Amino acid sequence: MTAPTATAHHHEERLWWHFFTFSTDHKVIGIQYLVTSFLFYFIGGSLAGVIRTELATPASDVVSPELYNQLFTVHATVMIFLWIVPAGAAFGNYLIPLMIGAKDMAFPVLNAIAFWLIPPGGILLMSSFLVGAPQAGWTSYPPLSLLTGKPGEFIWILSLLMLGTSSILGAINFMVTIWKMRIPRMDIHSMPLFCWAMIATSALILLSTPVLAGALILLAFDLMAGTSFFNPAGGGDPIVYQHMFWFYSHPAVYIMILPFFGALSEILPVHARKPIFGYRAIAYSSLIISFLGLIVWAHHMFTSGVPGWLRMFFMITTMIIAVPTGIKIFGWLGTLWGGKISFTTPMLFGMGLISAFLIGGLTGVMVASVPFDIHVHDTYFIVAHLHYVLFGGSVLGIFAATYHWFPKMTGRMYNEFWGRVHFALTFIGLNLTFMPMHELGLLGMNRRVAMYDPQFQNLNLLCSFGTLLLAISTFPFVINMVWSWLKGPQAANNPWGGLTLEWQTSSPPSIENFDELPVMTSGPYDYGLGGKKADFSFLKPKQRVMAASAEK
Amino acid sequence: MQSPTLNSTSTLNISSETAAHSEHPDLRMTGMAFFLVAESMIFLGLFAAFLITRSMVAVWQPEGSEVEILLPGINTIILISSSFVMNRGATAIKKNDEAGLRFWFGLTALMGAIFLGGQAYEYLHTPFGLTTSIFASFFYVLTGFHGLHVTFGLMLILMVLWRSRKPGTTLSISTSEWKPPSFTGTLWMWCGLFCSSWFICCNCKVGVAHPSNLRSPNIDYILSKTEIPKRDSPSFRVRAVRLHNTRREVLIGSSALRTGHCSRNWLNFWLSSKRY
Amino acid sequence: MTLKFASTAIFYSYPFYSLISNLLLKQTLNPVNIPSNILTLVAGILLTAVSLWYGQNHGLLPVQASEQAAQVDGLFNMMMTIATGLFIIVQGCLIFVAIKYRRRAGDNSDGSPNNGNIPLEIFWTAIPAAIVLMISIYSFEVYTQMGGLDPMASMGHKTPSQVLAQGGESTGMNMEGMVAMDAQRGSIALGLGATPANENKPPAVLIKVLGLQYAWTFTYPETGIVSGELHLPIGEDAQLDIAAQDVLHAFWLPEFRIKQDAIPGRETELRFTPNRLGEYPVICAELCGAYHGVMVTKLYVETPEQYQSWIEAQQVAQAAEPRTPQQVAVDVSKLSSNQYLQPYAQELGITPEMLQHMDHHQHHDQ
Repeated sequence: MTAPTATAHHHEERLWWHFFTFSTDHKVIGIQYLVTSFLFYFIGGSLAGVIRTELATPASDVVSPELYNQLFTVHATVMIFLWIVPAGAAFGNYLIPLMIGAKDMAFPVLNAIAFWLIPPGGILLMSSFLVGAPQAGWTSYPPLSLLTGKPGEFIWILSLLMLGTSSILGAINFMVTIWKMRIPRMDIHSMPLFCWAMIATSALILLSTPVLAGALILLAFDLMAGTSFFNPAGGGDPIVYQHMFWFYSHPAVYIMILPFFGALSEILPVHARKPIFGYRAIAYSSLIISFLGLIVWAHHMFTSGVPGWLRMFFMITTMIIAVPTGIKIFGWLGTLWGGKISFTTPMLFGMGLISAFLIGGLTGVMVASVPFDIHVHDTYFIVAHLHYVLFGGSVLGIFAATYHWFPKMTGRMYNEFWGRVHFALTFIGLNLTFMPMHELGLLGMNRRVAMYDPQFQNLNLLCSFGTLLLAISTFPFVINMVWSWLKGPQAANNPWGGLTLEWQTSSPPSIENFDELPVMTSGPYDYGLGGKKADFSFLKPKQRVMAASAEK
Repeated sequence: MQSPTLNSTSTLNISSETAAHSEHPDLRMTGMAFFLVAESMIFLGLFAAFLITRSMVAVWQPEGSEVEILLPGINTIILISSSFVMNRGATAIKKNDEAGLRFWFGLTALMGAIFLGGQAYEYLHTPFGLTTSIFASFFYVLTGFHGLHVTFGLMLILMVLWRSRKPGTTLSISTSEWKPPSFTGTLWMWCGLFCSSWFICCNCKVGVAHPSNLRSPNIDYILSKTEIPKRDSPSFRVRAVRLHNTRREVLIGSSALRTGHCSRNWLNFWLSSKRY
Repeated sequence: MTLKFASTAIFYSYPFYSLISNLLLKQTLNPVNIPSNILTLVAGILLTAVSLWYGQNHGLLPVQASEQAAQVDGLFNMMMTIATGLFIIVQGCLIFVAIKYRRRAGDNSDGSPNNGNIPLEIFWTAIPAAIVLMISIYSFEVYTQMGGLDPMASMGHKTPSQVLAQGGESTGMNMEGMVAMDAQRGSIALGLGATPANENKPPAVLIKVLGLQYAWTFTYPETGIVSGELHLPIGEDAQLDIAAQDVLHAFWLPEFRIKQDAIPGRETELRFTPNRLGEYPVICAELCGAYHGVMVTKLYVETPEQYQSWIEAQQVAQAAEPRTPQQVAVDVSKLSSNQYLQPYAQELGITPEMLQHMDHHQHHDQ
């Protein structure tokens, strides 16, 4: 952390150690976010591996039941707060200024602070294993959370408060940057859809995360100071906590998925060489989703302390969310229809996202229906549903975005073959792991159990086998990314022939992004309208290197 | 928003080469507005918890301890009126009146400090403790959370004062850039709305309780044995006002940041500089 | 009646849906040839047939042991039919575009510049909206039939306010705060109340259920029986008043498709009529601690005679030695996996030796 010097450095070389400093460059911060979140993905994934190993047999024979509860609690917390949410912030940070032609975010130092809250928050959370990690589930419902392991629970609260603060600071930055720092010619309707998605995401973060903070503060008082806000023994009400918790945690689902819906809307047109189908419908559906997302929270409480008429209200609002979501899915199909699709790794992950998220969306409408949800609530059907949404939606989206912008971020090209292998393993593993869970839940297997009825063993074995595939799939990914970043062939500035502004600058972009103010020569998705032709040299490494050197 | 800009004499004059930037030179106000949205959501969440809990209980305030009214009343008046004092200070900055700024901001800080002292005194003399009853818990946590915000605002004011000790530093201001009246005005109205809705919630006799929402009798029995001040007592209302004086630190904070923005100071550096 | 109407309407809308969408797609999206109208119609009928067939024959749900289960299954089958149709359409489209619109080698040109079609967008906004509206209405209907909106649910027994009002008078408590607690205001139970047919009727069997870490206990107030297993006579309207002693639990009967959280400090209820003899699991579905997974017991649906003899046997047994729910609850955290799996052993054909062997391999959860 050094004071700024007056020597500004337009073409200063960025060195490896810059990524370990309190840098205020949004590109450095974006990569810091991304790499950190990937590290936590591997940690969370390892926890999931232990969980699935335990569940391969009905008996509790790998870990103790207490440790099992700690594992799934930390697994969920890591995957949500340290993997998907920061990964969304990663792309937001990296791409927003580039996409709107700005030199940096509106508040660069705030941005760096937001990032640097994450590693301590994450390390704090993991350190809870030393004193007994929280074991009341990531929902942390009182009174259970007040009764199991005080230190672990308190660490969990502190860690979440830090990560939540980080999220809020990031959201302020995204909002102001997108709103105020676009190049003059870019009005909101010629803005890339990713920016629209980030506006919707940030609005949700600003409106809902603080309420979680409020709930956590009260919970911390109950835990440490002996108050009874949520403790029925002292006159408090545990249902109030559930309302406050889900007021954040349902929107959190959209906070996790919307950025990658946005990224998908960027990726599909580029690789299909076709304009996005229904720009405004996709743009505004993000806002509608984020508005509706604020008034559906109690659908997580259909079997809890919510009276019948309220259950009906939340059922209807939840059902309506299917409409804007459907608009997006159909819009993406329309984008692909009549295009010229190259099956690059980002495109494969993008189409995989549509395919897998569809399943999560369809089961989402089912569980919105109160009578049916009463049966499947807190069962493996829900586990299947949420993983199809968050793994099938968000995680595949993160991979698609990572591959798509890898050449921009690093200036090098990843290996296409291993990227496709990664996709195949991930997609098969995903479906093997989570598809059988639907049936498990319907037949009567409840979630969050270390021991289960032996009649469910075969399906569970299948799930565990799928998890093994998912674990294996990370190896081609990590090796491909690391090797390509260090040794991969040089990437051209615009290897995909994209029309959004980030492709107009060098790869990786110079420190102030654009050497001169970028000019919008076309709309962001004007493919087939005489705009730039695609550069397919990425398929043949030799040509790519030549193109890159010719450009320089 | 680049380092050269930061080190030039005029911090507001963003380099003209970046059209987008010079078009929107003052982003901190926008950022502050979004931050306030988030802040008010915390308070909204806490109040909602308070109201829902209240609605769940058949008898919210059985006969119990009375809280004194005089000190909280004075305290509230001091805090509310300090907003106007602060506004005078803001006007002084606009007129490049540095002494005026120091005087009015100093007065505001003094009033804030008196408020905090009063609150501390009150905490020491209330007849109930944090865990006496659920009302007591809500009382301490909500007022405490508010007090924390006031403390933070007070520190910001003191920082501005500290920086203004050298003549000329605070006044390198482009007044045309600065529109605190409209901003505070909006905020003020918003807070008024918030405050009045709180009053309605708090004083509404027919609660929102629904019999089906009620806790089972044993819990109400426990509650009825605890000593809780009457909801209708004036002292409670006064506290309610105080709870909602969030606008105070909002004002303090935003003005301090605005002022900070106008000089070459650490805040400016903090928020907008770029370092490697 | 309404149910049948809704489901039929959805089933019959399928061919139209696929036909219209395909025609629209042809006109607006596809510059190249697409299959002729007749082929489209055939595809639509096939799609409908497959969806309908799978919606009825997915075999994903356990047996139905009450009328409510049949209603929920009807709803699920309808949603499954729609989901299958949409699944096939969207995945089919993905595969179709992947084959038809793949970039050929050497073709570096852009695709069609088509960037939207307002009628088509309105169409695919309106259809899902109509579908979710239909599902909502159907769900509402089923929920009402299940007793979820029974306005009299808490009239049969005292509301908390009534209890308080009486207690309040005797202790001379301030009544002012109870204006809101007017018992005449429609009070809706948390959980499932009486079905419309049983409204205003007291339940035939009333049982107090208490959830505690990690067991369910059942108290039969009429006879004073306290049991760790639930016995119900077939065909009788049963009401369970559910409470929790320590943390949240959830009372789940998968074969009856009903579930309700047990919330400390509140009382919730489930009311249903078993219509199938047999033995069913009772499962805790809300995380309640480390041994949440073993908070399982049995529900026996018996003939009236069997039920009566069970009651009598219990009365004799408990007359000598009255029990409290807490005494009935077995501390499962003290059980080994062996003991936990014992109830399942028979149905799986596992011998005691095998269990012995399994138990031998794990010591740490003792």
